[in-house]
Amino acid sequence: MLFGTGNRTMVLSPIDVIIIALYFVCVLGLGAYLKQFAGTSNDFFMAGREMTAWIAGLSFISANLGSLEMMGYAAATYQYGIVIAHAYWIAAVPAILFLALVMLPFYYICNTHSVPGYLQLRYGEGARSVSAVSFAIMTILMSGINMYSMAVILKVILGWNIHLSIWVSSLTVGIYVMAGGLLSAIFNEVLQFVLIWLGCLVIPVAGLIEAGGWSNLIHRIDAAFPGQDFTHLWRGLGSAASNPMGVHWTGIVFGWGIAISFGYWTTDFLVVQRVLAAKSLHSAQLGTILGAFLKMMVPLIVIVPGLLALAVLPFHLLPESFAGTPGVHTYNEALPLMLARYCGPGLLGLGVTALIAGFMSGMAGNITAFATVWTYDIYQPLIRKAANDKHYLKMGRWCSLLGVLISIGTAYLVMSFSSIIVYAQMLFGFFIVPMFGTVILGMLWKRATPAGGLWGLVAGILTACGLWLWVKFDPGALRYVAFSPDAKDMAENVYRSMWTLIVNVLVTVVVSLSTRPRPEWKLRNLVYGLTPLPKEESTSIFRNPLLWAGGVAVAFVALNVIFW
Amino acid sequence: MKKMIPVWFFVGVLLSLYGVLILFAGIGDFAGRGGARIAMSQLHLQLWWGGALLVLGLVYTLRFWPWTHDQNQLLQEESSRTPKER
Repeated sequence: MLFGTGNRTMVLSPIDVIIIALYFVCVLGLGAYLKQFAGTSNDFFMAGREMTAWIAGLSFISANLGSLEMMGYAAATYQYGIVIAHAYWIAAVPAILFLALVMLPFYYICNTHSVPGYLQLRYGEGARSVSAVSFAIMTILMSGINMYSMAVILKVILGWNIHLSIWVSSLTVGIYVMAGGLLSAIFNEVLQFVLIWLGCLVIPVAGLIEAGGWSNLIHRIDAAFPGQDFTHLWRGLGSAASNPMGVHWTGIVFGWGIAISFGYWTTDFLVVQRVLAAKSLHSAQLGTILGAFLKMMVPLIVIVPGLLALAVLPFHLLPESFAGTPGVHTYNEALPLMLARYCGPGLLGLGVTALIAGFMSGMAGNITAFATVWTYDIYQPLIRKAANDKHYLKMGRWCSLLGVLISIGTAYLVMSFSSIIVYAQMLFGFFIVPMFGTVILGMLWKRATPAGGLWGLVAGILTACGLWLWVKFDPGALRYVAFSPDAKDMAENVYRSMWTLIVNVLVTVVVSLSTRPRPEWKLRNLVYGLTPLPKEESTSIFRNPLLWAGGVAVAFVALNVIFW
Repeated sequence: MKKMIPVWFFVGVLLSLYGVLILFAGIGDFAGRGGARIAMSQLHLQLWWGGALLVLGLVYTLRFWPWTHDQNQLLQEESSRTPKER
């Protein structure tokens, strides 16, 4: 039964239902309309490489702004405080700017279809296969996160049947991606980005008025949770014991700010694919910098609601292990509860649509990236090498649907973690962090060899899995992995990622130095120093990526100082 | 090749429809039906939000109206042709 009788927070009015239904009609209609423009594999997987900077930038951030981002980080803010804003600032902005200014030219010039595709050109088939398979596994697992988040929203707010909600929403994504491929995903992501912002912005507006402004909000949190620092970005990070996350600033800077962040933003194909679809390198760079700016603004609709939940909710939220207990709400329900608190008929429909849109954009991102990597980096090189374009297009369409079906099965894995964001960070640590060390050494160091790239990647993945298992079976090992027995799940994740990156880089360097390098002519257009970078296309200073990147960097520093 | 309708047109149409619906719901609440069950209901956010969505949606719909755009482009192409081509 779709309209179950669970512990619903709010009942939808007919207008809310119409708003949600209109959204489903619109995304399916867009998919059907765009099918005619996805006639070749290049159209389907790379959107014909015709996107403007605005569309590429909005899609870049929207694919990242899934329900995981919205619900997961709002939940984590309730759990750990404003320190979670690091996810949007130090753990995003420097890496996105680095992608725009340093790495995009290499991706663009070598004309690769995917990040594993770059590894194949740089290191050979071994590194490509390992990264493609690990990436495919990760995207499917991440889809599970989005589905679970979605099901929680619909259960909490509407009391809908969790299983049917998952199937209806997932198949909608499957259908529109199958029809129009990346083009359809990108168009819908632009639409979803607008809806997410307009739907969620209600919470900080109404919430800050209710709390009596920012200063009063901080006072209320400090009064409600004495002895715990929920309201400072850096001040509590001098010791692992003095902040709710149990992390030292070194973990934030080196683990989160470098290992996880650079791994995710520069080598996770889900986001990189969006800007590779831009019509030129210049558009790709400007779109990426626009994405950095938009990412910096997201705390307004995610972190602020989490803080507001700490200040204004008359009860305390509990870990996910308490889910299902009558009268109890969990961390992951922070954002939906705030939505239900402020949104009347019509606005509630828009808010629920925003959350559904977040789910769909996140899931479509995973599915399109999975379809591309599967088709270009696994199926084509390893299973069927010489088929015609139509065959690969058909494969892309069907494996989009298959990806949806497999990821439905992974949704249930998420339920065993205290917070969905912890699960996501763990996956990034396993599969994305090792890829960053391998890619960046490949781009900047011509001495890196195929054996170095392959074994560095394998050693990184094994280190991440090994450290996770060590702490799982011996919780006392946390004092070695995360430098503190007080470290919480998130702190463990950031330190594990830091170790993973260190091992990944060390193994790549040592193995490279002891094996024969590739001749330089094979590294042209792949490595710094052997790649002629294109000259600036635009004559106007206002179209210069460096100028805009500088502006974003200044705003980034200012935000860190203001919320220190 | 068929010209693609800009995504901003679709955004505009959807926002306009949402604006009308939310404004309608807000007027209902303002007239005294419901509203009190949510926090900060005295702000009448639906009225403000609905109005803003409607204006924003109309601006995008009209700015990216595809058929006018195509017509203008056809006229431009026509005027740029030489008499012989015509």
